[in-house]
Amino acid sequence: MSGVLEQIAGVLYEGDDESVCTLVQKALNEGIKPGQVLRNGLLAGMDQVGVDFRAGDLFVPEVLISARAMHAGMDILRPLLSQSDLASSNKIVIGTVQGDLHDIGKNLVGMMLEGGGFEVIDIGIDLPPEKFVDAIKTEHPDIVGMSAMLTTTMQNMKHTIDALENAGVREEVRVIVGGAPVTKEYADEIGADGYAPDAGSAVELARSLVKQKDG
Amino acid sequence: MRLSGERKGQPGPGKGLIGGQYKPLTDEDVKRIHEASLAILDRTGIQVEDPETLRLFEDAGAEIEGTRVRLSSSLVEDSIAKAPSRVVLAGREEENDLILEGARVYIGTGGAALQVLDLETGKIRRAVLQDVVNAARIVDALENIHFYLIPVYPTDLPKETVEVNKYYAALANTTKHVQAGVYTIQGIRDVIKMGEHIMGGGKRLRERPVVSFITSWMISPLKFDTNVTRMLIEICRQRMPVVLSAAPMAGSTAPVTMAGMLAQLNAEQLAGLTLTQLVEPGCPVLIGPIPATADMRSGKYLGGSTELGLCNAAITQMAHFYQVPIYNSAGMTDAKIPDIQAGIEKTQSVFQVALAGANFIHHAAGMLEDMSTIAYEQFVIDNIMLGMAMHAVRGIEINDETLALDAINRVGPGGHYLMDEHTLRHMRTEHFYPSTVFDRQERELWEQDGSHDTWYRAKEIARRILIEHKPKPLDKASEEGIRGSFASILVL
Repeated sequence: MSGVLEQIAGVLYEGDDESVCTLVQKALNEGIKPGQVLRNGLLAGMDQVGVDFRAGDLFVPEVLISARAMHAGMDILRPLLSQSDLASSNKIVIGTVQGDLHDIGKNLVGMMLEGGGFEVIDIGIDLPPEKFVDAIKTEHPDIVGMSAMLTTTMQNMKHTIDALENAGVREEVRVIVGGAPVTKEYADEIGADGYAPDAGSAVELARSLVKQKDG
Repeated sequence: MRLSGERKGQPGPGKGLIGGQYKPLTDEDVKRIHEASLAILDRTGIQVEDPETLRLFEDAGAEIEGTRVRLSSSLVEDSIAKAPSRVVLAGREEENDLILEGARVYIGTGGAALQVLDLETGKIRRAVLQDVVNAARIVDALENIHFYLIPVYPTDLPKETVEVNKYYAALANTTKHVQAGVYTIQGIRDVIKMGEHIMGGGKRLRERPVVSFITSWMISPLKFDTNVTRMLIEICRQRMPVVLSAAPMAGSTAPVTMAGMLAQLNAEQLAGLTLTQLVEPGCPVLIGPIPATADMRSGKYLGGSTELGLCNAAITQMAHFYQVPIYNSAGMTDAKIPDIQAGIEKTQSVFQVALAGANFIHHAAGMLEDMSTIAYEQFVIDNIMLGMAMHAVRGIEINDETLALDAINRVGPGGHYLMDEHTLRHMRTEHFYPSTVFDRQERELWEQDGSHDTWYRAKEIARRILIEHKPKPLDKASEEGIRGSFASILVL
């Protein structure tokens, strides 16, 4: 592997977004293919972040700062990536369900997913079911993630899934749910495809779901 | 998400932090206990049978009547003034030095238990020299245990070789300060010689003593143990740090009232302190009052009583009043296994005594069944509780930086602090993180890991420490010097 790609992985791990941009540009100038910069530079660095996060060596803010650096690098790469490179980047739509204004958990999951290599479309908070339907129709995501913080608003996850079915888009996507009151049991009960207890696990869950889908 | 406390750059709360926030006695109470203790020494006095000790007291002007010695207030108060208010106990590594003074708090192991709750069989067995080695290695690896008071008496050795072997086994397996009880004058001299080999001579050892001694010289109430008092005098003459350990029980060897016990115990300590300063003015001594209670239903010694925590905190105030360093106890339990009773009893007394600002709190890790049994996994569990207590001692830092007004303004209403520079600057040091012995995961993740309890996880960590942790060995010269001096040392 080229030295510059290892350097990209290293500065990304440190969360140094300026150096990530400088080095991504340098790698491209050296003639390294954009797809290779993505896989062996940015994603390699993020993989190490994920490993150390799961081991307890990194804290959430450090992962988020690496994710921000990843984002900065992607802004340079995205226009240059081929269709096949882009296809490997899966899309996920996330939002907080109707009646609920809480967003820190959802934002955290979104940032962690971006760090995990997903393209994340955050459609906001207090979302009536039709907003999720619209997002599926316009964005064609692989996954839809719903968040709720309150026991009362959690019920709207079920209403949203029902709305996806009524609109005929439920089969196009995998639906995942999360938030303080949500349990695996509740997720199964309302017919979601997945549940993760925290932001780190949400990334693993999303990866396993797209793998199933692709496989 | 599995946050553990064992990551890089995640220090414990620290040691030698300043306690003293918790004061069960008022200033007036402290004065009354002091006066009561002086009255006890003047009126009732102490019993001393050793002729040399009697002569020392007599020469100092004490009133002698047979074996009864009565001490005047002025003699006692002169002696308190001569005793050092600061005693340093060194580790082989300087970062492990303990500066005992004021309300600085250090916490560690204690005891001379004869039993071990075996890590693998879960059954009780007799303690052996290998347990001294293993417990030293575990303590060496655990950041919130600040010193290694050898917690077991190895039952597999003849009495003549116990001292050199247990001190050697401890010193070779931890760089933290090593303290233990001693049983013979020869043993004391041997251990001092061992310390001199390690520190490079007698002067250096006195500057940074890597070993110190406990003498249980007092048979409460108010009677000197002749044999142990002779050892105490020997250690004072050698100017090595020594503890005046006494552990009366309210109801049997002290008055049943806590006040009466404190007055008597304090009098005993002052009598011992007076003797040490008559032997060798200014010699480094720690008072060692360990107030406890007897179970009046059985007469049994109680390690886990609330009174133990309360009274050890109170007697700490007496040490602060006299400005002498104090060794006392917390973290004992009457439970037989690392169960809920153990957790609650240990925690209540450690928090009380640490917040009181005791300097050298022993018995606080690894111990079960009052002082009778150790368990390797209990050290691992207690390490977390001690960290929590030290975090409480550390308290809350209030200044411009910690009040975070700039960060609050940067983030603004409705934002979040997860990526703010202020968060990154403080997140590894502001909060206490227990190691993975405590579970903080979501239920699903805990279930994926096998739904284990604290006891199970602590055993796993203890096993891992014994396999992976390699304490810094003694340097070659010390090792050869010690081996050359003591043929009786067993190789472990």
